[in-house]
Amino acid sequence: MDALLTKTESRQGTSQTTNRSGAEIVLQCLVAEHVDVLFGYPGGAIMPVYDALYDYADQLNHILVRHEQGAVHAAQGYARVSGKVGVAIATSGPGATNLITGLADALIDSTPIVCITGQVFAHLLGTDAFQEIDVVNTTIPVTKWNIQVTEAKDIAPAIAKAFFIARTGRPGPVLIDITKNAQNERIEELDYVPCEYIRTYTPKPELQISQLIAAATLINNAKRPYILAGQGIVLSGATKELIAFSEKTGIPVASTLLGLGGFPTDHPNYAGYLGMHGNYGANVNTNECDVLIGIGMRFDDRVTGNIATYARQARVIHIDIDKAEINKIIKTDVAVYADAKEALLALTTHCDANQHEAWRESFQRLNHIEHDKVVRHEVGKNGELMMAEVIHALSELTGGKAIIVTDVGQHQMVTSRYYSYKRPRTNVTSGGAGTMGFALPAALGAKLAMPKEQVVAVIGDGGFQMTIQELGTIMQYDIPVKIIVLNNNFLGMVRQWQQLFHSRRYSFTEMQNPDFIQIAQAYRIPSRKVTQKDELHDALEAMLTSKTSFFLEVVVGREDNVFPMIPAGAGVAEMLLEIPSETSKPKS
Amino acid sequence: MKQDLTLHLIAENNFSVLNRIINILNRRRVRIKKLIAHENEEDFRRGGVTMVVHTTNDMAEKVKVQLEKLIEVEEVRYHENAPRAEPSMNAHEITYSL
Repeated sequence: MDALLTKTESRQGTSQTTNRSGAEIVLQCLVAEHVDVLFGYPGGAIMPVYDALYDYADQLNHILVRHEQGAVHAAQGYARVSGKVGVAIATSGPGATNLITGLADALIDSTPIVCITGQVFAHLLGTDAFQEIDVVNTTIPVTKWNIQVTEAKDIAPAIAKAFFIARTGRPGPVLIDITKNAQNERIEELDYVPCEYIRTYTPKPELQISQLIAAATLINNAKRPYILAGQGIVLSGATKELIAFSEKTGIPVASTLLGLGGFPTDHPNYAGYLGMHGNYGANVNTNECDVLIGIGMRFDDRVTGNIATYARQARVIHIDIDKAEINKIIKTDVAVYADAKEALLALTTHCDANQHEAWRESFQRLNHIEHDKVVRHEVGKNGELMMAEVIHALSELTGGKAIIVTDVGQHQMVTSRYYSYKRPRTNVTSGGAGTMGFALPAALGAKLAMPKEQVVAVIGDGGFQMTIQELGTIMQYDIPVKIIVLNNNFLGMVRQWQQLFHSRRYSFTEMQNPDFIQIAQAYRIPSRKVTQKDELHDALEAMLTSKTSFFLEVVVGREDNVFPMIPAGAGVAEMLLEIPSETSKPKS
Repeated sequence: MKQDLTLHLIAENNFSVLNRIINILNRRRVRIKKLIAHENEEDFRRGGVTMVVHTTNDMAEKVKVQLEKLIEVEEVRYHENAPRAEPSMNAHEITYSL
């Protein structure tokens, strides 16, 4: 501990000192880091911090969640829409372990958060004391960095380092575990000094001109170049640069799930959404391009399908700030180890103007097939109410400009397909981890970060019940977040897989749900239930114009499926547009 | 083809760094045949790890960049032959045979 912090390379504070407790220092540091909202849940080992919080109500807006998982997801939602570091606080033991799902989610989805946990007194460490869990060792695999602090003097340098690590380079979650004695201890506190440098950590690699020239040469000679844009575009604020690059070079741009919003979906060069349930053209043409340019994305298996057949014909350029992503899944011909924005600015200068009209049209052709086979049936005027129709209407009514927070499952894939994202940081979803229960707390966190924006959570009936208790948080703080539950009384995505790949054996996926409207009413949240097509538009209008939070339940087709689909283990070119005939019949 | 490779790391010396390093190898199911962790005799704030792992060159490269990502890790190198003379292992060495 000493060894680590005495060598913190930030400038040393020199001005006046004040006698403060470690707990007060925690809060002083948060204020100094411009934290305005924090999400938390008190308990024995974090009580000194909560006691100090009593005097900080005018500087730090603490939101009491209903479960620590809610705190960490709310901090994630806050961070994802604002670009600032989200903060969550919990007590030791189970309080801390309840953060783990959110930490894992934030790590895989590159979300900057700092979690502060209380810990038992230092002299009790390792004695199996009440609510003692070895949180630092438990959270090593799910954090970008973590640290245990046992003395008050180490609190400020640890927090400074935590915020620096969380927000720089590829962002991620950091956890600081503070023993109770360190929170109680009073010391002469120096002025807070933010951390700006760590000797062993290079957050932003320097752009190598040789890599850039090699990439530009490949692109300039390409006949069918293709950009796969990931969340790196959003994180580095490179939307404008990506548009400029695509417009100059005529290269079509597809988006990953987390990349949605990083490139406007109504741009003529937008090729579609990638992945297992993405757009037909965007996926199929991956195996037709001659140069594949991955920017700020990590070739997740939901994007690549079977890697043995993935883009074998293409030369691959991979631009990423995280060196460990390069060559991890796909062998790269040219690696550009850099920040997306810097790389795109430089590439735009070095690449020739081009059109690639025929190539871009090939996407439209394939997407017309998808429209004919899938879309027109899902958003049509006849038949039962479908998930796609709800999201399509929501997209139209909000002009694609609301912040949309989704959970995990069919509704998430449908939202990604049918919501026309126009701006970065308007798509908040649990991508890599696939955490059901993410959306409700993330949405309230997003709304607190961006109070002037329309924030709509779209959730399935399964995921909603995983963190349903956060309706209490929404009620207590009057957070005007809008909630749509697409209710099919099934764990729909698992059911779809059971239908397609397990001979329709619906093993434990049917849900007997409570009356959600009564639940919303119990939390004093205005609500409405839609069961018929003709009620949808009015209900969505009522929800969107409501000044308060609003709960909208939409009952959708019980056995709606999400198509197109790349079956697990299949290649991107084997995307199914409809249910194969042999799996559509019930098992006899 | 799997073979014995020697991995050298230089890192900040703190309580959790060895655990972080081993976690990365365990997650990739890389077999550790020998591991020596030691404090730097001239500067206790730094330390090193030398280990013999049994894996492919491709996996060693992937593990190397993951290890380099650890905030505390300063340098990672690996080579194909097992070490003939192990560096600074006299004073504070801990040797595990796994």
